[in-house]
Amino acid sequence: MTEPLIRLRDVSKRFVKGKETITIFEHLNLEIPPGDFVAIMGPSGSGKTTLLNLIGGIDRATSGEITFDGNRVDQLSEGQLANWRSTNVGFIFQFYNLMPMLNAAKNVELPLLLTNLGAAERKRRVETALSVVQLPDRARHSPSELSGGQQQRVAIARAIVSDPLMLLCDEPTGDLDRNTADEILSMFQLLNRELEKTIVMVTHDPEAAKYAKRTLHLDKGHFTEKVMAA
Amino acid sequence: MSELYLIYKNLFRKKLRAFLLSLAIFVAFLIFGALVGVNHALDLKPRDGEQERMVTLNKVNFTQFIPYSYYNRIRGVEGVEKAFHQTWFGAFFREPKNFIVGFAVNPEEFIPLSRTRYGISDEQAKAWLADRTGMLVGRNLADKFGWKVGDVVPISSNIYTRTDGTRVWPMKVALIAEPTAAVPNTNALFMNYEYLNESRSSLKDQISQVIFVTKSPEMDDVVAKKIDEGFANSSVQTRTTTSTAFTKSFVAQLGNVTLIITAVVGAAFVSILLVIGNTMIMAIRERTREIAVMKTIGFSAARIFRMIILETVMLSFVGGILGLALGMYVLVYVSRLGAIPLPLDEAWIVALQGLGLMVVLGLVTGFIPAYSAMRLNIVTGLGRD
Repeated sequence: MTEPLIRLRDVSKRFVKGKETITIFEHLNLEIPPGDFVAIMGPSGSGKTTLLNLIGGIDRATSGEITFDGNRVDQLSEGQLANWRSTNVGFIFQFYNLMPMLNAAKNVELPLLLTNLGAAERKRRVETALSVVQLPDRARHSPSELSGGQQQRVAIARAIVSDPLMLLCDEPTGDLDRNTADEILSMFQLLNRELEKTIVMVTHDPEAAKYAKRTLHLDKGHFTEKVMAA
Repeated sequence: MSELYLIYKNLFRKKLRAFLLSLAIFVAFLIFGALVGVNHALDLKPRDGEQERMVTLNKVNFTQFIPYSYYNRIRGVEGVEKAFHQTWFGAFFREPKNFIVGFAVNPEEFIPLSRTRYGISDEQAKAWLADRTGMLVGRNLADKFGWKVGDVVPISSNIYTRTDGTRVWPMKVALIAEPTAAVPNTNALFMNYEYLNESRSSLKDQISQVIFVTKSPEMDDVVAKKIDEGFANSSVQTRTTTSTAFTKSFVAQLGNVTLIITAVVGAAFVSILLVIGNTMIMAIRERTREIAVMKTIGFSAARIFRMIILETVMLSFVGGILGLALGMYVLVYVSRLGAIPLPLDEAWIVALQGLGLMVVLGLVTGFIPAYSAMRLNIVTGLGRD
């Protein structure tokens, strides 16, 4: 049996708000094998985004274990986590979150500043990433000159440029029209199939979830699973 | 793209704001360059192994005279090695608006003490000593009026009248002193005291100051005390001090110059500090979400801290270097006009102090926003618009 790329074991997450303790989920277990494409759905407040944040190492679990490729990530320091994220995780957000003062190419290049790559190699990788998202001719355009769909493609190029094993997408099509959303989701399928990226996508949209290999429903702190047709 | 490019783009993302902040820093360093430069020049001590000169003058005021006989007595004081005297001439060329810093000196004693300062060669010394109407002219002054060696020019005095009732002394340009490290601004003239004294109708045998060096710097205080005590019961009492202290007291007629300069520069910098610090805090707050995204991508908290500090240091340098450069230019220009008798050949020290201050300004104004960004929780930052 394939060793899971991501494993959550007995993970709990609680927030303290004033005198009140809010439990998001308790004793949650999850395994995601390499090359999987998982959609996580659920009602508002079910903890989908919190789960994504925990998997991506930008939030910490109250208790439990989180492993990535067999290694505990929940025990890493903030600095180690930052380094781990830069190597292993690509993030894609609902509102793209591009740097407005940088053009598309510079936005894509941003994660490569954390590597030791030379300028020529960085340029080559940026060109490749922009080609993958079919935006090579928009490299010099600033985000404000791009449509929502184009901005999301730039964000995808930024997420894949350092060749991470895993892509985490938080409502990536939530701000796009149906056609553009389908283009973006097809691109995820391509990245999953051709480049073997493991993708975890949080979405409210059942149509978007159809692009994933399987869908997990998170409700009241528990998963129910639905495997999609290949 | 380098990290520096990213910092630069962040700094100038709002061009008007960056321009106004740079302008504020520009003004602060303009003030710093000019005023601190003056203050530094006032504190300059002799260099290149040159011993500091001592000055004896009338205790009442430097505009008052002391008798010529004092010069001979001072030369005889134990510990005094070399001395010359100088007398303010109140010189101008043709019209009073062509004011000249001019002194009457005894060249035969002036030359040994000033040979290095004015770069006087043996031939030049000989030429000056050979002609009683001869004068030493600084290069800047000679160029200003187009004088050459050998020219005879009419120099007037706004203090003295000649025995024939005129106020004009024809003088021959015996030598032109080129700028040296010790005297970079050559805008003065030195005439022969005997020529002045024999032809003036009043104030005969009166001099302004006696300049001397002692046999060793350790003797300066003792010799100064001995000279002043020697004239304590005379009708004209003296005050003996170092030339640096004298220059400073000369400028101090305007008030406590150091205090004024410190107050003005300090007020300017505190204001700038508050303006930039506040603006940077707001600017970073506007970028909360972007900072959270950068952290998500993998930029460490320490790296974010460093980038914001570098951003404020860069801002400080953009306005600061231009302001400092203009301030230094103003300082040198004013000095060359001869308005204040300041040696200004150590401008680089003021420039270095200015650069250091730019770094400090950047660090101080950037610390709070950088620290906030460093501590920013990613989840909180991503949730804030």
